[in-house]
Amino acid sequence: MSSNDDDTLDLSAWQAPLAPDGIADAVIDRMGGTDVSVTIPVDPRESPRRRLWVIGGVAAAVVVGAVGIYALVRSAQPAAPRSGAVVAAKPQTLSLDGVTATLDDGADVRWKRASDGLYVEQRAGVAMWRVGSDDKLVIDAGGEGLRAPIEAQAANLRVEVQMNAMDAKIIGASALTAAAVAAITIVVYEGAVKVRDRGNTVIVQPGSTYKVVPPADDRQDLVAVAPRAPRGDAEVRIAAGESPTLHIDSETVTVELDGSSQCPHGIELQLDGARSDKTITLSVGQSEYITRCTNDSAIAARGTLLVVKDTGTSPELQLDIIRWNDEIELRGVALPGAKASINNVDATLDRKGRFLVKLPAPANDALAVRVVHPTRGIHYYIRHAVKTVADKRPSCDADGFKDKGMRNINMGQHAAALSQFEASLRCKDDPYVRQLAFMEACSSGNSPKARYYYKLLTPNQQQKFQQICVRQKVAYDDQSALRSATSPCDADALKDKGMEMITIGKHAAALAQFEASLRCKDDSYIRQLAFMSACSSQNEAKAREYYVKLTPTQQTKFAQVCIRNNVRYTGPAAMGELQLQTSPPAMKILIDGTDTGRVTPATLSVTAGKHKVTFVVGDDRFTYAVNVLEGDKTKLTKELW
Amino acid sequence: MQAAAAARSPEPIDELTLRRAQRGDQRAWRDLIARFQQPVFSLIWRLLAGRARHRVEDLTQETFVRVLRALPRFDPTGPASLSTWVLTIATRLALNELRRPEPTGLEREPFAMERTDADAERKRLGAAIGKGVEALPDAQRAVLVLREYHDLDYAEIADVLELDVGTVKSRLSRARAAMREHLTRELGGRYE
Repeated sequence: MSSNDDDTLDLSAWQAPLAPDGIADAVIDRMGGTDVSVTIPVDPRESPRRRLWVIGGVAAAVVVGAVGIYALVRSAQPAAPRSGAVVAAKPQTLSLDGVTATLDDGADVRWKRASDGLYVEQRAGVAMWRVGSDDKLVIDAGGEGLRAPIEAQAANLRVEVQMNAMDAKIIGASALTAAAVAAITIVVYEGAVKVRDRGNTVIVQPGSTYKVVPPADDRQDLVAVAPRAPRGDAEVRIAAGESPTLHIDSETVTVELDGSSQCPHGIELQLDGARSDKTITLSVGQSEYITRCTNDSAIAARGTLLVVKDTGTSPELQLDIIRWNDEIELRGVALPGAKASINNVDATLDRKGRFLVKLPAPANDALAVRVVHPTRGIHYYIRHAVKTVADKRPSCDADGFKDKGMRNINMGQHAAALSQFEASLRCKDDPYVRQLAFMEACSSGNSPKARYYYKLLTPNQQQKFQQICVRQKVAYDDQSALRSATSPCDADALKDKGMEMITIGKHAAALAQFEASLRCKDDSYIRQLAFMSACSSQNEAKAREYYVKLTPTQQTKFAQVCIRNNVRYTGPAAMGELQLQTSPPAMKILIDGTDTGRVTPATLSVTAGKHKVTFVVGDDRFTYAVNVLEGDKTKLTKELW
Repeated sequence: MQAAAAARSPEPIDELTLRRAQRGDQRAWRDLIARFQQPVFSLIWRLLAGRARHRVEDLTQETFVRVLRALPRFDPTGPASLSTWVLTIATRLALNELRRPEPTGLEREPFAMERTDADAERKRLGAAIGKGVEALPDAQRAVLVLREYHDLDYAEIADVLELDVGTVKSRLSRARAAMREHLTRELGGRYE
């Protein structure tokens, strides 16, 4: 959520009343009232049962009394122990002077008070830490294989040390030390927290989560490749025998060999059959290499280095650098199943392969993104700060580029429009411009770009605009590529998506999904769902359309849905007039995708309700949504170029 | 408008609680409901502007029932934040409720402030705003409430209401103009 207002109005005087108590009890009762989870034990300090008001009142009185007594005796309480250790067998709280810890079961914590603060080792489990402004908390989180020192002051944070031994619910201390740490997660609620991750200090801001994970693999590095482009170095590492593809944004790339990890007396490189120095400059093309340890004739490793000029259309990774100042912010989409790391720090990919990473800008103003895919191999993408820094371009006019793109569309220049929208996005990210970029990628038949932008759209946009690619027969995701190659579509998946939309109350979207499902496969049950969604979304035309397709039993049973929503689903259709005018005139008119045989200007009689009007000239189509009211004349006038 | 900004956007729920709630842990459900009940209740109360109070409570409950049922499928890395997703469900339920014919025999709630407020002028302004919001068409009211009281941006509102961003902007502009006119008429020069 954000504020993007240009016009404000102070309406804060109208405040809603407080929500009544007991909503959670009522909701959980309606959900069945049983705890279906067995993995997380419920804190015995909290009763999940519904509380009676009387008990609540008594409890409140007791709490008030207890607070008073606590205030009186607090000064007499002994100081917290200066050191100690605990492996929590059940949820518990530790009060350590200026620091409070709430431990989940299984948390393994040791602490020691020093003159400048509290030093803690958190070897396993989950703990919520709260530290005041007059104290300092230093947590050494993790253990074997992975550690992350964390420093906090005036902060509220959660630290989760996740072990590889996932099956144990409560693990004994000996087992904990034997198990390797899989990940350390730091969630910060208040205050800024410093985390040291492999030599870099990361400031985790309130509301953010930072995850420390082990390196992607722990193979010994034999070859280190450090492309030295004229604009700076980018350090990347490849293991011996790997054959990566380097996508570069400069003419050449310099590769440096460093075999100190396996060859203590140095390493020799042979490139394309000729002995080479440790540092070699490669231009676009493929080279074969072998490595040997000095004073050892046996080949240690063999591989190829393929250098390609990066055109931004590589299917393995679509990368977009949003910001590059003191901090780099980059967004990308990798092929599903791939792993990605940026300057040797792993990126977290969602299930669609998307990631958004912020990291401090390296001193050399260069970065390398490594993508490893099980079938497409290893790829490096080298990027430099120059020309990618939106913030450093004072003349960057996002709206100007967008307007140019719109003019290109009107002239039917879809590839040029895409290029303008991409320029606009480099200036300023905007969901609407992303949508335009996707549409123009489809219209210009640019499948890699369509795939890239499709993943950046909201589900609503995806559903609305994928048709453009479908019409143009452009693959915009793996499923669409598969669909075009094999079966036309997945009726069940579309039905399930429709059901999800109903759950969250989006009936128009649900109807669209059910209609898509019916286009794949006709099914009486889906027709019924489509009718119900049409009623719930008050789409009279569709309700009429589907009502006549229902069985008599379905008609009797489900007509109520339309009646409740005050939607007429039978009887003579309510009509209205649609007056269409375009500049230039003589454009072909389609209503809801059906050719009317008329051209603009024209006045058509149509059923009342929502319609899609499409004007067609040549290969260009312009579609608008209209709502025609019963007995009314609705005007649609458009200047199209 | 900015005065209540902090109250509008609930603090994001932490990842672990969300994961537990997705697995059906009742304690996490309670945390989630506690975190969102006020924004959801306020949103529905404003969208139904003046309708019988018992429907607001019913719909608040219904929202959370739907949220908890759909929660296992919620993708925390997806485009919508949990907060926007919850408000989407609440909004859709309230809008569906508005489409139903209003039952006869039920009195509309007056726009009296329920909280005690020492500032009578502000109370009067609050009542005037309430009347103005009630008079807006449902579609404009939804956009205005989501923007002004729940701090959703244009793209989020477009997603919640299944509209184009352009439509959101134009409806918001019309709603604000109508509110300005209403408040100036009701309060004269006192409303700036």
